[in-house]
Amino acid sequence: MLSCLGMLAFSTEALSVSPEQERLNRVQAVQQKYPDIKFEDYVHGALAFSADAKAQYENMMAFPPFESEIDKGRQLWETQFNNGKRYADCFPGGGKNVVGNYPYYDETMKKVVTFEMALNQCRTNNGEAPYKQADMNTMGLLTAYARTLSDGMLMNIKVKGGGALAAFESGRRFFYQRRGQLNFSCASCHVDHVGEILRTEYLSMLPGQATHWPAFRGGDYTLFTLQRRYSACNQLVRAVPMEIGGEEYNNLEYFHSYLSNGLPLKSSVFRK
Amino acid sequence: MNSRRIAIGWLVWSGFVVGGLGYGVCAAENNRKPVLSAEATEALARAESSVDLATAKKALWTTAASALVQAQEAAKQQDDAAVMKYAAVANEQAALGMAQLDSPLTSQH
Repeated sequence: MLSCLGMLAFSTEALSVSPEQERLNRVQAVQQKYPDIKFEDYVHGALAFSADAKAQYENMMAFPPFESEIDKGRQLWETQFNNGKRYADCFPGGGKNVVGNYPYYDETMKKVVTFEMALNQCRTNNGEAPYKQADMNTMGLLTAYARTLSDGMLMNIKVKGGGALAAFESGRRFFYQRRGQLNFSCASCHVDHVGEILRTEYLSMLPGQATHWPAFRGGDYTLFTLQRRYSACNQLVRAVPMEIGGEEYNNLEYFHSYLSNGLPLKSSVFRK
Repeated sequence: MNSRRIAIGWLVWSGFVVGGLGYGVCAAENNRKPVLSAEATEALARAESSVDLATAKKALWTTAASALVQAQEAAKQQDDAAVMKYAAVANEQAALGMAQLDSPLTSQH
């Protein structure tokens, strides 16, 4: 009974710390458990725990076998809309060094806006039909190139105002909420058992996880956006996934990205 | 000649009659096919309702969803036992998914 009360007390406490305190807590927890891993290496996720895996990754990234896919994304990015405008016209700096500011909370729309939503807004503002966010052959490929224009930019998510905080809390709750028949939360693996091996893979740390998407995964280099990864994780614990581009995953991405603040972006990379 | 025609005509008509009777018997047999029992129908409806509720609460487990599909497939085959079995699993797993929403949040202490 007392332990139950303690857990309930914790859950209240978990939702009462500020976003920045939450981020610092999570970074410090990883630093205490793995003092030899540098903060900037958190962007490598599970690779940071294995020198061999990291070396293989670096060899692969010297000549990425999925480069032609990124080129397809570049063609999508550079293709003019029917009105003659391009995606680059929708973003400051032609779309360079912008992704670290996404997602953000839009006070007018009263919701979180992801980079994928901004790309679709660009399309619809220029008379084009929006892409389905779950479609890797359009939105996936487009982001595989567009996000590389922000490589090296530091994640810089802001949570200001009541609406933004509520969206952040919604994302935080999702992260710590148990799901599926296996009864895991995202945090069960990536906070409570970070760096440990599940089946044959190291469990990556929460800070840095949002910095390297989309990724080309596995032996066939399947393109995964961050929200497609959420969907796959949910299915792994036997929970029916949420809609990609829906409010739940957008809020989760908002929380998740804030926890990567201060870390450099590096998109379209290989992951196992 | 006439009697021959009459005999052929009689044979043809009797064929129609026998054929018609046979069809009637088959149709009757088809109508007697077993239907899903009231108990199985109720179990399936309960499972569908639970899964709908868990879906609305965004708490549906894949195990509940797939058990419901199996129950619905069994219903098409009029397999009472299988419907009851899979509907019970779907119902239970959907309820557990919804109950999970009330569990404490996880984290490292």
